[in-house]
Amino acid sequence: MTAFESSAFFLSIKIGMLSTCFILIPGIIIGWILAKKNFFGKILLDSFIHLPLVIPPIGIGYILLIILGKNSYLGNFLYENFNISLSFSWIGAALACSIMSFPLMVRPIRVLMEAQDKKIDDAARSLGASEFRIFLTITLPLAYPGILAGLVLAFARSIGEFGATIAFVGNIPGETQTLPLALWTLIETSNNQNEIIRLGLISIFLSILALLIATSVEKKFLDRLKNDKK
Amino acid sequence: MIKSNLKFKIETEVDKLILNASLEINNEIVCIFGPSGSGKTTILNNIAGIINPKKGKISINNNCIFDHQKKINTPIRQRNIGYAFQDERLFSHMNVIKNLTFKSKDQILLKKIINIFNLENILYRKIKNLSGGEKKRISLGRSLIGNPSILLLDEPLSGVDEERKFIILNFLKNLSLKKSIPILYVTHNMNEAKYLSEKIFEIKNSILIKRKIID
Amino acid sequence: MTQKIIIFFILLAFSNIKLLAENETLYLSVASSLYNLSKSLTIEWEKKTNIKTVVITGPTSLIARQIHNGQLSNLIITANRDWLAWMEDRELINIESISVIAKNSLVFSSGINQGFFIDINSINFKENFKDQLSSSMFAIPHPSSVPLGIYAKQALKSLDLWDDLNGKLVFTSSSQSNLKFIEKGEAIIGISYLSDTISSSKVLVVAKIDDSIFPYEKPTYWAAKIKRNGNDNDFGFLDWLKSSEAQKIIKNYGFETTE
Repeated sequence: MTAFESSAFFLSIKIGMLSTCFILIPGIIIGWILAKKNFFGKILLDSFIHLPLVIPPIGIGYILLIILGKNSYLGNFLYENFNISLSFSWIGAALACSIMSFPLMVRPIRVLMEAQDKKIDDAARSLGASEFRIFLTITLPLAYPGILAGLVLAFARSIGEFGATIAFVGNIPGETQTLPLALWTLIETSNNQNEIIRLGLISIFLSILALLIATSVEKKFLDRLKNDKK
Repeated sequence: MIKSNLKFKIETEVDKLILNASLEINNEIVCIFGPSGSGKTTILNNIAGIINPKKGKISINNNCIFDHQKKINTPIRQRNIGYAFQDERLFSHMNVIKNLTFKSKDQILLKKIINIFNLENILYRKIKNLSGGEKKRISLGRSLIGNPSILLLDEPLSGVDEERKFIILNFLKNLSLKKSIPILYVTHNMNEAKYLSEKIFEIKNSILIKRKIID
Repeated sequence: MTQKIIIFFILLAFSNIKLLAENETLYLSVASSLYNLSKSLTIEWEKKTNIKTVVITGPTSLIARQIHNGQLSNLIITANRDWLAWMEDRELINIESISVIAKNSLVFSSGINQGFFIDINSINFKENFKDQLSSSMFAIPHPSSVPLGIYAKQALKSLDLWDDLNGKLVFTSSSQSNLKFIEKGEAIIGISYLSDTISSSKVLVVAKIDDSIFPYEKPTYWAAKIKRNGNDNDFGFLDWLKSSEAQKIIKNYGFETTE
């Protein structure tokens, strides 16, 4: 691979992984709330979480730029006090990806937690377990395949993220130029078709790898679901 | 000897009918006998706190845990009740020993139960690979561990082979006597009921009444 | 198996993290149509000065907004004067530094095997053009939003062709996508930048449109130093752009220089 290609390739993986790390714990908590709790405004929370699936990604990136850019109150606060600049850094790219892939993280976790038999929770309660202990020892282990499926789906989504990334963190080689952005750059600027095809193939390779893992994890996930229904 | 007891007087809904049940149990085993669907399990769920009765009072060792007038409703986990569910409700992702020690890791009773319930050979097996009788024994064993104040046993030995069943029934009799634990035992097997206790109740016309024993 | 693959990914990602950032880096934000030229220029400049350069590309509108929000470029090169004015208003650039570094001209271009031939100065030009186009399509970028489209519309009006092309125009999204339409023969002919046709082996220049005879606004590329906290620093890159060494490279890419 050329320096241009490998830089984009590794950056994509790095950003994809940080992005999934960001949303692992929030994804589990929100999945749990949506699956197990009933409260006023649940439908609102549910729709809010699914927003990234329907808002154009570039819109989300631009909103992030307004909220977290250096001219914004929040962005300025982070920069002045912690010297953190999210816009135009790879960490910001991971943030944009994590928002875009959040619904995909929550969904399988929620489905699996909803499918769990609530009677098992009662049994644990009768044995003196607190709600927190039930979450840790019953809910979480039974939702494990869902968490894994969510992680891989979110990672795959992050690998392909384009719109929110280019709007929020720009197209900076070596910092935020992931595979989709590099591919776009080539399509916009290059007359060398081979170059474009090469990078396209690299993108496809990474996506297929991520999807292969996703399907194998999903199979496990479905098996677990079947076993629980028995 | 410490006097422990379970007292309740409740009105609860079973299939849109109001069921009246009142009972006082001391250091003894009381059986509720009858066909399924008559409301036996509902009474147990009311005492355990899984379903709330419409009206009434429940107390354990003279501590009120439910009173609809005074709005007392102790959460399930603070009632300290050993409950062997009709449908076992084992933790399918854990092995047998993890299920048994979920409430307490107290070794003395655990070893005894493993021995009497004949569980040595399956301690590290996964729940989903076990037979119905094995699951029943684990569920009952799990409910006994951790010093519960009372025991609610909902058909805990159906599907367990006869020989083992009577070993366990003897153990339960002993337990209620020595540790002075009130036991409410639900069954549709008259032999079990007669073997355990002289106090056998049944539900007739939506009322829990004492069964007249005709031999 | 799954765990092994995940571990493989973790190793892969972190095997490439650079431990230290370069101490001196020049960030250039450039319009997409200047990307290839900019790459050549920076390679030459890096050799001379040993200062690492990073070329950022994208639509000028997006780049300007991002610079406004703290993007770290030192210098911007764009074909869009309106957005430079927008940046001026927000004191994002050093006004004194704004300078023209290159110009471009428009050409009729067509795929190498199309056999389209016209003489733009002949009296029969218009008839000839319409005959050869017949029912085929003519490609230009969108005439209200893409710079090349805006210039192309002006040129077509000067050539008195705009009204005749009604219904035969394909509007594309950028100068590069326009060129790809023409390369592939999806449109038999279209308007391109001279610089783009020179770097493509799949299109021919059918005719150059001389702006002194058929007036249109000449595509012009401005460079400006970006201010951060009131200061600008481009490590001397802009001055070098105006030097004969850099202008020679610019010329090789088919641009007109400012000398």
